[in-house]
Amino acid sequence: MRVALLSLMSCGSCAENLEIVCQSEGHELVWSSLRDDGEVPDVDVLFVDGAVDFADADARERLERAVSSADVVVSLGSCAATGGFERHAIGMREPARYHFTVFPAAKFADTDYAIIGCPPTEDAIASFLEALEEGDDDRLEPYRVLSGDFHGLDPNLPSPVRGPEATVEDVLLTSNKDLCLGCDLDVVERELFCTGCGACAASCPAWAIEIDEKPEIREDRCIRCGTCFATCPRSFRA
Amino acid sequence: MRGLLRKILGKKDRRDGKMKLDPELVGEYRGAYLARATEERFREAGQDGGTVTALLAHALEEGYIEAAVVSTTGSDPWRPRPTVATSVEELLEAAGSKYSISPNLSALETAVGSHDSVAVVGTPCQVSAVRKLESHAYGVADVAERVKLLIGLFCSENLTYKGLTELLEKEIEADLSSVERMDITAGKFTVVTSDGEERSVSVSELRRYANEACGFCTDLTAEDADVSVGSTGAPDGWNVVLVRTGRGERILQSAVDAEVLEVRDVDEGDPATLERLASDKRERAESARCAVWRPYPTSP
Amino acid sequence: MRVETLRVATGEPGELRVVAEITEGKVVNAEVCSTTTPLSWETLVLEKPVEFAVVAAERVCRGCDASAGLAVAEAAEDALGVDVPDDARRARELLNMANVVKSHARTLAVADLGVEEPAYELVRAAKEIVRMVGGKPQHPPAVTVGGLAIERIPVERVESVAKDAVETAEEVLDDVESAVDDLREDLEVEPRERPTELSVSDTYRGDVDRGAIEVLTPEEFYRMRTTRRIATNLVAQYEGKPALVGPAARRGGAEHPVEHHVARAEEIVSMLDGIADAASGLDGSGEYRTDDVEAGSGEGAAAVEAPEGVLVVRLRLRNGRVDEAEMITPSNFKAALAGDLLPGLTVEEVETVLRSLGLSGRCLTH
Repeated sequence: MRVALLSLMSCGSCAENLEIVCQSEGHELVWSSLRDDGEVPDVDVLFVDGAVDFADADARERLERAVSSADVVVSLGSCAATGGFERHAIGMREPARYHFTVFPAAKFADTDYAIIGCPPTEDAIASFLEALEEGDDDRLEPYRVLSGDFHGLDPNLPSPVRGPEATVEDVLLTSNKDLCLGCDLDVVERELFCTGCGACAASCPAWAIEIDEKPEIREDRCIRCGTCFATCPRSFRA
Repeated sequence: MRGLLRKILGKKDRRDGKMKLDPELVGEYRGAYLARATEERFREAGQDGGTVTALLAHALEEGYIEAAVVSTTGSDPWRPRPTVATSVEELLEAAGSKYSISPNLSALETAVGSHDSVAVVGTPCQVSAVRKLESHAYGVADVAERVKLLIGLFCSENLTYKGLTELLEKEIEADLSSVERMDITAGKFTVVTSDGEERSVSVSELRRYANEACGFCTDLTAEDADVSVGSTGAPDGWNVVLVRTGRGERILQSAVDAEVLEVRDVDEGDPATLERLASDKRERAESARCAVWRPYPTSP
Repeated sequence: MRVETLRVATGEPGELRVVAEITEGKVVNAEVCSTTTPLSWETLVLEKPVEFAVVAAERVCRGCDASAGLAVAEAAEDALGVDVPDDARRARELLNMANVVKSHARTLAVADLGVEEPAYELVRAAKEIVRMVGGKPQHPPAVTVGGLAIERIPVERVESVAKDAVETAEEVLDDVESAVDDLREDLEVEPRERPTELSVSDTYRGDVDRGAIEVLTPEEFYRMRTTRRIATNLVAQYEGKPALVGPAARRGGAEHPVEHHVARAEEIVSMLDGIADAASGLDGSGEYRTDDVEAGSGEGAAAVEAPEGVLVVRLRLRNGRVDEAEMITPSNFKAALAGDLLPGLTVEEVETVLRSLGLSGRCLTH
C-alpha cells in the first residue's frame, strides 16, 4: 500500500515502527513529515501520529490539510487516538505559565481507525495494514470503534451484555474515556468482568500494572495509554 | 494422527461422520481421547494423568518449545504464581492444579521476549486472551510468531485465594496449610488433609466463593486452545484430551509416538458428563446475563 | 539579502527551524532553533513521584529513550543515596549500548545513504536486545530507581543477537563510508575552528561539571530577532563556548559536517561488540535491583552518554516527589554550534548537514 505519515507532537516511536513495517512488509512510505515538506501526495492511507496543541494554529492547519487529501486516516498510537502520554504535556516551561491545551490528534480530525499502543507493536501495525489491504471489515472493526468519539456513544446498551465478550461498542461503555481508555485506573470492571488472566500486565508499556489476582495500577507509572484495556480479553473479542 | 490412533484404538473417528462429543458444546476439535503420562513421575506430580506436564516435557526435550508459561506454587500454601519454566525439573515443580487465580499471561512478555518458541498453559479465558494478543498485538510483540503451543485447561470457574480460604474454612473446616491434595472429580471438590482425612463438598457450593467474573463465561473446555486437557469425563488417573489444531495434533502425535503419552478412546470414559457440564456452563452464563448489568446508570 | 525561516525535516520528531540570512542562494548567517510545543518534562514531573519522571523521560524522544530514563533514575539514586547492585550497573550499560545501536541505525536508515534495508535490520536486532534487558523493545519499562525491574536476562541470546548483527553493521559501515565520501565531494566547506568536544564517557555514564554548563534562554543566546521570537528551546554551552557532543565527539571530532554519519556507523559496530562482550560477562540471573529505595529527599545529578550525546539530569526530591528538575539534552548543546556550520551552504545543503549532526526538535525543546 501507499502510506503517508504526519507526525505531530510525539516522541517518534510510533513512526519508527511504521517505517520498519513498511520496509519489511513491502508497503511504500511515500511521504513522511519527518523527512518531507509540502503537501501529502496521493496515498491509500494516512497515519497521524501524536497530539496537537490547540494553541498551535500551524499544526492544526497542517493536520486539516493532510486529512482532507487522504481517503483513509488512521490514528497511530495512543497519543493520536486518545491523548496517551501527550495528555501530560504542558506547553510551557514555567510552572506559572501552565497552559494545558494538548489534545489527541483525533480530536481535531475525523479518523477512520485507531491503533492503540505506546507505541503499537510492529505486529499490530502490520496486521492492521494487512486487514485494510484485504478489506477485511471484521478484523478492522475494533480499530474503527476505537477511533470513534466515545462520548457520543449512547449509554443505554442496545441489549444486555452478551456474555464474556460483548460487542466492541457495548464494552467501551464500561470505561471512562476522559482519562484514557481504561476505566478510572481500572483495566476493566474488576469484580464483574476481570478474570485475572494477566494480559493487561504483559501488555502495559510502562509496567505500571502489578497483578496478584486482579490488576492494580500503579498511578506513579501509568501514562494513560489504554493498551491494557484494548488488550483485555473482556473489552472486546478479537 | 487419526490413522495412527485408529490403529491403536480400532475405533471410528469423526471422518466417519460420527463425533464423539458435540462440537456445539465443547467447541471444534479434530480428535478426542483419553490420555495419561506413561512415566510415573509425571502422573505422580500431575493432577490426574499428568498429561499436560508430560506433553510439555516432551515438547521441551524435542525442541518444539524453549520455555513454557505455567503456574507454580508461590510462598503461601496453594497460592499459584505464574512462572516461565525452561526445564523438566521446573515443569515437575509446577505440575498439578491450583484452585485459585493465577495471572499466567503476566509472564508472557518475559517469555516471548526471551525465547523463540513458547508454550502457554492456561484457563479458557487465558487461552482466549492469547488468541486476542495474536490478532491484536497492541502491547506485546511476537505472540503470534513465538507461541507455538497453547494448552487449555478445563475450567468450570476459578476462585480467588480469599474465596478458596473461606471455602475451606466454612465448608470443609480445613486450613489451607494442612491440605495435601485438592481435586475436582465426579461433581465433588475433594480435599485430603495431612492427617489423611478426605473431605468433600459439592461443586455447586463452589460458586458462592468463585470469582464473580466467571459467571459470564460460557467456555468450559478452552475452545481456542491447540490442545484442551481436563479430568471431567475421564476415569481416575486419566485426562480427557481434545485436539483442536494441526500443530496441537503434531505435538500430541509425536508424544504418542515417543510413548510419552498413552491414549485411549474417549468413549471409555464418560463423555456424556463432559457434555452435560459444558452445557451447564453455557446455560449458567446465560442466566448471569439476565442480571442485566449496566455499566453506567441509564439516562433519565 | 533576505531573512528566511526554513523548516528542516531531519527525520527526527519535532519542528526544527533554521533562521537564515541568504544572499545569492547561499547562507550568510544562520541560527538553529525549535518551534515545537514544549512537552515541558521539567515542569510536568513537578510534585509527581520520581518513578513518573523516569517513565516520562523515556517518552521525550524516541532516539534516546532508554538513556533518558537511565539518566533520571541515576539522578534520583544520587539524590536518595541508593546503591545500585553491580549486576544492575552492567545490565544498564548493556541497555544503553543497545539503545545507541537502535538510535543510530534508525538515523542512518532515514538519511538517504542507501542503507535503509540493512539499517532497519539493525534497528530490529537492537530492539530485540532492548526488549530482553529492558522489558520492552521501546521505552524500556524495566528502568526504575534502584536498578532494573527484571528477574532474568537471557545473556546467551543477547550475545548471539549482537554477534549475528555485526556483519550487517560492517556492511552498513562500508556503505555509509562511501556514501559520505560522495557527499563530501559535493559539499565543500571551508575549514574552520573546531569546537571542543564534550563527552562524559566512551560508553555510558560519567561525571560532568554542571557548573561549567551554561544554559541560555533564547533571548540570551540568539542574536536574530526572528529566532528570539519563535524559539521554544534553551541552548547549552560548555565552559562558555559551544561544544560538540554525540558520536563524533566520542571518537574525537569530525573534520567535515557529514562525517557524523560515519561516526554513527562505526559506533554501531563497536557497540555490538561491546554488547556481546558485556553479555558474556553478565550473570543471567543476577541481582538487578535493590529494594533499598525509600521515598526520601535530596539533590542529585547524573550524566549519561545518550546516543546523540551528553544528557544531564539534575533532580531535587522531597519525600520521593520531584521538587525541581532539569534536563539538558544533546540537542541543547548541538543547537549552540549548529548555526556556525551553515554559512556558505545552499538551502538543500543545510538540511544535509543538520541531518548529519543529528538534531531533533523534540529533544531540543523537551
